Amino acid sequence: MNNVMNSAISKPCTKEASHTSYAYGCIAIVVILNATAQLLLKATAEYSLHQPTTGLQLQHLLNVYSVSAAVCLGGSFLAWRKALAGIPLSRAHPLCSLTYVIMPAGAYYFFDDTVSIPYYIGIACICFGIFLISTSEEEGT
Amino acid sequence: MPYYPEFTLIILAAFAVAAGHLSLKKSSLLAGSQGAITYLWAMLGVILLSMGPVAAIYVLRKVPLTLAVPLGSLVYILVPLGANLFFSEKLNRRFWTGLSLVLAGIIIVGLSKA
Repeated sequence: MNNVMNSAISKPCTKEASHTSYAYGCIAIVVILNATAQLLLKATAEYSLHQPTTGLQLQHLLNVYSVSAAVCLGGSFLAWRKALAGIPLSRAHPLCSLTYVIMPAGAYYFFDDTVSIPYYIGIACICFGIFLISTSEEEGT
Repeated sequence: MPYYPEFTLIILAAFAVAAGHLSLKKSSLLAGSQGAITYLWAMLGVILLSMGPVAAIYVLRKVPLTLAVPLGSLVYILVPLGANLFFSEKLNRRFWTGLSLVLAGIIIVGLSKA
């Protein structure tokens, strides 16, 4: 009898937990796709600067990088909608700032961008802030 | 202060982007129940969200990044406030401490790039 009652109580909790995990997975996808899109836009800008004609021209802005960036942003939008169905917006939105953590790593790897000490301090603040926000629901109001 | 129109535009864009996120939240809450209305909210969300980059491109031609970044991160305050107002999401002290750290981090990262 107890087992039946326990399973009846735990089933919705497990379902809710998996729904939340799915939403957090979607946010991870959003962050990765957003950072990739930013890096691809940077690649587009670099590509257009190295073209023989002067100035910014539309045909130089429409290339494999910019189209891939648009695809990434489209995918990010779809994942964002899925994420919002599972977790509160006030908790989900600050998590997107993790893009600021991934982006410099990508820029350092692909474009040899320098990463300064204030950048690391900023990233540490973002990560700790996100930890507090994501655990704030457990604390209650 | 020489950048009044640009600052106004950044603040308006921040409100538009925050409204876009709230529209998308509304659309995701309605998903599966009311087809056409869900897509209308989603469309509204996309339109409002796209105002952010458009405003950024216009504003950053004149305003230095050091001024634009702190104002732009206003979105991170408006979204939870809107979520609290429209969806009754609970915000406690731990949340605001975390959000303050995220904001500080975004501003530091933005300024270190400038």
